[in-house]
Amino acid sequence: MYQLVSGLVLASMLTSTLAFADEAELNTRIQKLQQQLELQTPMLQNLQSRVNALSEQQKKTADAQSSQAQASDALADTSIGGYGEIAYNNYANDSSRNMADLKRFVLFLGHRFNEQLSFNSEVEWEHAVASASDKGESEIEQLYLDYRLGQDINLKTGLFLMPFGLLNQSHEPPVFYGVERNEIETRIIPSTWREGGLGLSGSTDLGLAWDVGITTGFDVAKFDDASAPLAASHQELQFAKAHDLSYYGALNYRGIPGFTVGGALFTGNSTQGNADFNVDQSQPSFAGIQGRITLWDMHTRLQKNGWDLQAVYAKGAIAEADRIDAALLAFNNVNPGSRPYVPSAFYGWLVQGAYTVWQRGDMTVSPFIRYEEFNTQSEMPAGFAADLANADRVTTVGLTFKPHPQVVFKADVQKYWDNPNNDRFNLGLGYMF
Amino acid sequence: MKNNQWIWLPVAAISTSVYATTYFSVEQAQQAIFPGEKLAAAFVTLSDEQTRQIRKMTDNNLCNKEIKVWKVAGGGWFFVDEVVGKHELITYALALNADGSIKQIEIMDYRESRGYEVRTPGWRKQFVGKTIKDPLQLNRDIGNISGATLSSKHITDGIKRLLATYAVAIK
Repeated sequence: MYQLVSGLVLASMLTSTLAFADEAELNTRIQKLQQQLELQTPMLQNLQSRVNALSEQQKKTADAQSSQAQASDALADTSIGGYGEIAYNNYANDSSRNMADLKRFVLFLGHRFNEQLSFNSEVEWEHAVASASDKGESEIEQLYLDYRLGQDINLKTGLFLMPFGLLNQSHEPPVFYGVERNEIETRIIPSTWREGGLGLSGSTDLGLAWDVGITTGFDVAKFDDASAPLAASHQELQFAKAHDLSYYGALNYRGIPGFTVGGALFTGNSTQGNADFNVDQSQPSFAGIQGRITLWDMHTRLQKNGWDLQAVYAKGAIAEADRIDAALLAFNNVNPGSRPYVPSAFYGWLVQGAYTVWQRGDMTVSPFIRYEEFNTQSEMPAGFAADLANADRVTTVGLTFKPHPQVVFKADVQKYWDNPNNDRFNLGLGYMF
Repeated sequence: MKNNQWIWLPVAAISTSVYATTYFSVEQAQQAIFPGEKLAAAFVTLSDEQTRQIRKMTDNNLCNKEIKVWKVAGGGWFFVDEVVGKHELITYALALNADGSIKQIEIMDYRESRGYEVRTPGWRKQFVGKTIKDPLQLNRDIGNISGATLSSKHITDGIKRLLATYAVAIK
């Protein structure tokens, strides 16, 4: 029995000793773990702060990307373009008239508000320097809102180009031949001719394009240059007198690829309720005169197999020119020779042929020849004489080199058959984008 | 107050005309050209080497790398692409026959205010049957739209680029 009890006591002591040993070991382990934890806590904190920094960075990048995307979306809706040209004229019979000129620098800015509504504008500087003491001009050539009424119908309002001839609406230097714009679409159609108003245009599946509109018109009281009757009296939406509104319409058939034929008509009174006289009674009075100005043109163009053939005919008329000139005569009697007389009619026409003789990729060389006739005083009221300097026949022969379809270098020779003092050769460069 | 009724005239005109101005959606263009056919998207991303080859074949520096193309179950291919006209994007579809020649082109959206005539059947028909072996040059084998030269040129260039893309990366 004693042995049994002793054995039990011993066993119990052994067990308790063993238990003591386990607890100590556990404590040691716990201490070690605590030490490890203490060591790891700053590392964890460090990691946490790095994760925070990374997520912050990621958020910033995402934000930047998103605003960049928004900016590029906005940029995609806003378009910028432009064109410009520099010309050199060398006169055969009077070198003192030789001249080099930065003719124009134009910036286009457009914005599309949505699929239907867009804004278009062109800002132009002419002759390099525009200031009070310089001859250059700064002008807004176009500024209008375009609204797509339907798939093929467009409504525009603002200051926009008149759909006349082949050049007025497509007047960028790489698009026309010759350093200088042709005489017809300068003197008869006053390119770049724009009016303020409302216009509707569209086209049919057969390729018939139409334009109609109501706009500002001419102010005959401004008439100051008999060599370009409409350029001398257009208003360009600069405090444009709007007593007399004008109307226009144009039809163009473009249903056969490479071929265009069309015409346009513009008409409206031009004395503007005698507005200039009413403001300043030292000016000529056109009281009781309407002075309707009507301009029309026919044009055609064929571009095929390297050929580019064009023809334009334009004719203008000023109604009651006799009464307008009588008023100007009365004015000139008091202020001798100060105002030119308006014609009853003026006209011009041209034919032109160009052929691309060399092409490599987008590079082309195209010689051209143009013949034109104009008379800006073809009919004068009885008793008023035309100036022979205002009628001529002109032959232009030249070369167009395009290193790219939107960049052009030009050289040409111009022969003025009736006023040889204007004979010259011209060099020019131009671009558009 | 009597005159006020006129104020509503332009509003009425505009409100009745507010509808989609796109001519075709992708599905509509597909069905117009390949009626009843099944088309499976087979979009391609061009490699730098393929881009270089396409540029060389077309003399054109512009090249979209992401090509939206569908394979037609009954043979043929359908592309949708965009080019800039003068200032605005033109969306168009090009359909090829199984032999790689042009079956048809459709203008899906045209946003420029002039030059709508690129949509006319007569202008689009010029491209039918052409392959990458044709010049596809404006004023040579493709007639221009006077007054919309840049739109005509850029669509022509775009189609030539897609024909080269077909030859290099899809055929």
